[in-house]
Amino acid sequence: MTLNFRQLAALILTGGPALLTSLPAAADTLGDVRERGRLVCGVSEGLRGFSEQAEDGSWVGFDVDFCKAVASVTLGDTNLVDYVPLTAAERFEALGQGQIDLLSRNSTWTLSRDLMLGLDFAGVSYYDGQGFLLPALYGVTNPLQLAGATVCVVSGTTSEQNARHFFEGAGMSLEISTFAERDDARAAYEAGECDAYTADRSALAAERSLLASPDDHILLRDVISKEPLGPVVRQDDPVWRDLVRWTLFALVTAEELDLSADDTETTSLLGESMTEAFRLDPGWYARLIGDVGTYAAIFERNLGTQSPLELGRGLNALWTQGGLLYAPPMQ
Amino acid sequence: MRIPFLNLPICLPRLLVGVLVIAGWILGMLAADARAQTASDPRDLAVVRLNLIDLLENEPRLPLPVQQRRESLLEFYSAQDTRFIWLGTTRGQGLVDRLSRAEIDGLRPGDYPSGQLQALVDAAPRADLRGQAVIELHLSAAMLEYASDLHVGRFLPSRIDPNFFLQKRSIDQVAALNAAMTATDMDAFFAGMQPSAEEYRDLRNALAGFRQLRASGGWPAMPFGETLKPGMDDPRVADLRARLGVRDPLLLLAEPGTETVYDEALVAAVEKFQAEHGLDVDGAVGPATVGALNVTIDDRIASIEVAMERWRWMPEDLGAQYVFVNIAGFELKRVRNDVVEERMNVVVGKPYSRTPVFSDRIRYLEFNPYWNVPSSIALDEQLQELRANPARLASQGFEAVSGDQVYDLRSIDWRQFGPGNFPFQIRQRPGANNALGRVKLMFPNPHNVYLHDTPSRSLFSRSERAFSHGCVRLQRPLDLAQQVLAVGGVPGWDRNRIDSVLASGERTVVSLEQPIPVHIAYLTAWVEDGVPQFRADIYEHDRKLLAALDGKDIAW
Repeated sequence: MTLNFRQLAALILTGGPALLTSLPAAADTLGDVRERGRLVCGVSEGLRGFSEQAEDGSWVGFDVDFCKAVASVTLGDTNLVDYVPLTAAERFEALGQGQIDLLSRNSTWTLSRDLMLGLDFAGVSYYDGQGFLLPALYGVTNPLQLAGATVCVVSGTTSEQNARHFFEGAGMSLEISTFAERDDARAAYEAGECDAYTADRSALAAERSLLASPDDHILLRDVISKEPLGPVVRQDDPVWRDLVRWTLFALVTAEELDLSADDTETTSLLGESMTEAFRLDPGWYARLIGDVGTYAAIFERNLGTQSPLELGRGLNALWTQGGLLYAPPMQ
Repeated sequence: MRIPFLNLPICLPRLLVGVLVIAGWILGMLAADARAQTASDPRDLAVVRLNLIDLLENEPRLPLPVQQRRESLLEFYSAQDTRFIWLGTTRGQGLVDRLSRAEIDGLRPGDYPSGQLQALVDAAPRADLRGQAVIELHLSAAMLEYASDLHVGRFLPSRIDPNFFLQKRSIDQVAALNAAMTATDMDAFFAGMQPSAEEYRDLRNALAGFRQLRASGGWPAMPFGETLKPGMDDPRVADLRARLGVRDPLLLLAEPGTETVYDEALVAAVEKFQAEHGLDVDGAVGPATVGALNVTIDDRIASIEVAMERWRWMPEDLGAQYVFVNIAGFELKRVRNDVVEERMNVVVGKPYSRTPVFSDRIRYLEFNPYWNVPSSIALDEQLQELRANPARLASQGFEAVSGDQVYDLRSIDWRQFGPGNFPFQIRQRPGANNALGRVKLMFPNPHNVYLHDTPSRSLFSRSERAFSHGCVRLQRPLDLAQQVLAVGGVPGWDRNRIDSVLASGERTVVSLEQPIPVHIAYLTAWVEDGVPQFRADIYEHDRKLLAALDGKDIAW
C-alpha cells in the first residue's frame, strides 16, 4: 500500500528509535582507548626479545615496542600502556572478548586464525620460520644433516607437526622428544639429552641467549616453515585496524627514508593523511620516531646484534636490502 | 727385633716405614696425575680404549656426529690396540689448523667447528680417561666429515639442482680412519682424500693463484663504450691495457704516448682472453668482451670453487677411455689413457630445455636413424600443426607408429587425440631432413638424451651453442662414430663402410662390444694446458651452488 507523507513520517518517528537502537553500536576502539586514556596491550608471559618484564616491572621487547608505538600515535605517550600477559591458549579469546585492544604477542598469521576467530592481522612485523639450534661442535649446517638425531620440541605446537612432516618428507628417521614447557625443552637440550632443539628461530635465539655458553651453539640459517608474526585486532573495527596497520608501515617507512625525530617537515607531510583520518596530533610521526625509533632501531635493540639474541635482519631486512619489508607509500 | 742393615730400635723402624708408606702414597698420587696428563701409561691407554669401545658398543645415545658414524668407528677402534689417532699426537692440532684453512680447498672455514675442536684438543691432556675417549671420537668424526666433503662433495647434487642426475656417493670411513692413523700430517692425509682427477688438482692450483692475485689487488674494470677495433686510438685502450696487464705485465710497457693505441701485442692478448672465455675470437672489444673483462676476481674465484665441488661429484673412475661433454663449454672430448684423442664443438640444450648432467655408457650406434619424437615435443609443438595440416610434416618424413602399425600422418583425424589420449609414437624416417642427421650414438637413459648428427651445421661456429631440446649435436659425427666403433671393439668400420651404409639409406644398428663411458658434465671453469678457462653460467647452476656454499637463507 502506498503511504502518504504524514503516515510515513508518523511511522518513522514512532518506529525509528526502536530501529536505531537495534543496530549494533559501531566498534570504536580508538575512541575507547582515548576515553580510557590507556592502551591495553596483550603480550606474552615472558619471551626474551619479544615481551618480557624486567626486574623493575617494566616491559621490554619487540612486541612491547610496537604497543608503545601505537600508544605514541594514539595517546602521545608510550607510558600509557597496560600490558596483559597471556598464554598461547587464551590470547585470541582475550582479544575477541574485548579484554585487550591489541594483541602484540609473536602470533603467526594463518588462514584459520584470520577467518575463523573474528580477528584480523594488521600486518607482518616479523617474518619468522621454524629452525634448529645445535651445538656448534657438531658441525651441522643444514637440517638434512640431522639423520638419526634426537630433537627436542615443545609438545602440541605447530613446531612438532612441522618437524615430523619435514623429516618424513626428507625420508629421514629421527627421534622427536617432546616437552610441555620451553624451560624443560631447553634444559634437556643443554643437558645433552637431545642433539637439536627446534622451534621458531626467534624463540630459539632467545633460548640460546639463556644457555651457559651461547657461543658454543648455532642457529641454523635454514627454516622449514613460514611463521609471519604480526599484531592482531578485532575484525569489527576497520578504523582501528587501519591505524595499527599504518603505524607499522610508518615505522618501516621511517627506516626506508632514514627519518629522524628532527625531520619535522617531512614527517609532518607524510603523516598528514593519518592525522586527518584518525584526528591525530599533527606532530605524531616525529614524536613516534623520537619515542620508539624506526623499525631498524626497534629490531636492533630487541632482536639484533645489539641484543643477546644476535639475530641478523635476514628476511626482515628492507626489500631494497634483500628482505621482505616493504611499506606502501604514505601519500 | 733388629732390621739387618739398620741400627735402630724397634719403634723407629715402624715410624720410618709409616713415613715411607705415606710418602710413597703421595708420590704415587703425583705420578698418577702426571700419567693422567699424558695418558701414555699403558694401563691408562688401555682404560681409554675400553671406555671408547664401551661408548661405541653400549652407550644408548652418542653425540650426533659420532652417532652417525658409530658402526665404522667401532669397526676401526676394535681393530686397534691402544693406539689412537688423536690422543697423544699432534694430528688433532693439524686437523684444526686445516679446517680453519678450508678455503684452500674451495670450501668455507665457517662451516667447520674449528674453535670448538681446538677446545677439545686443548682439553685432552687434562681430561679424565672417559673424557679422553669422547674427545678421540669427536675428532675422528670431524675428520670424517671433512674427508667426505673433500672426496665426494659437500652437497648432494640433486638437492642443488634437479637437473643433476649424479649418484650419491660416500667415503669408506674405515679406510679413511686407517689412513689417518698412519698419516704423518693432516695436510698429507687430506691431499690423499681429494678427488684423484688431475682436473681437480689443476683447479685447486688455479684457485691458489687467483686468491693470491686477489690479495694483491685483483684487476681494474674498464668502461663500456664503442667497440675497440685493432689500430684504433682511444682512451679506453689504456684501461684495456691496465686490465690485461694484470696477468701480462709486458703490455704495460708501451711507449709513453702510445698507451691508447690498440696495437698488435694488445690485440693478441685480447684474442687470447676471448678464446679462454668462450667469446668470438676477433680482437674486437665490444660489449661481450668488456663484460667478460669486467667480471670480478671474486666471481672468477667462485666459478673455480663450484667447479671443484662438481668434480667431487664425478664418478670415482671415469674409465680408461671415455667421452666427455662439457655443456657450459659446448665441447666434446674423447679421452683414452688420459690423452685427449678427439675434440669437437657441440650444440647443447637451451636453458629452457636443459641437457641433464649424468654419466652412462654408449652401447650402440644407429646409422640412418629414425628420430623418435619425445611426446613432449609431439604434443607441445607438433600436434597443432598436425591438426591444421599434416602435409608438411609428412613431407619431411614424419609418420605415426602405434604398436606394429605405421600410419601416414594424413590418414589420422588428429582432433580426436591430445594430451592424455595419444597412443602414437611420432617418428621421422631416415633421410636428408632427419633431425638426427646421419647417425646417433645411444646410451639409453630416462632423459631421452643422446649424441647425434644434425642437418643444421651452421650453429657449430657460434660461440654459444645452446639451441637443442636437450640432446647433444655433434660437429663431426662421422669421425666420432668411426672412432667409437674402433675403440668400442667393433672391427671393420672404416670410412668407406660408413659411407656405403649411409648411401643405402637403410637404418643400421651397430652394438659396441665394449660400451664406452660417456660423462655429460657442466663446468664453467677448468684448466687447459695450464691456462684457466671460464664460460658463462648458461644454466644458472653456479648461482645455485654458490648460494648453498655460502649458506644463503634457503627455505626447504
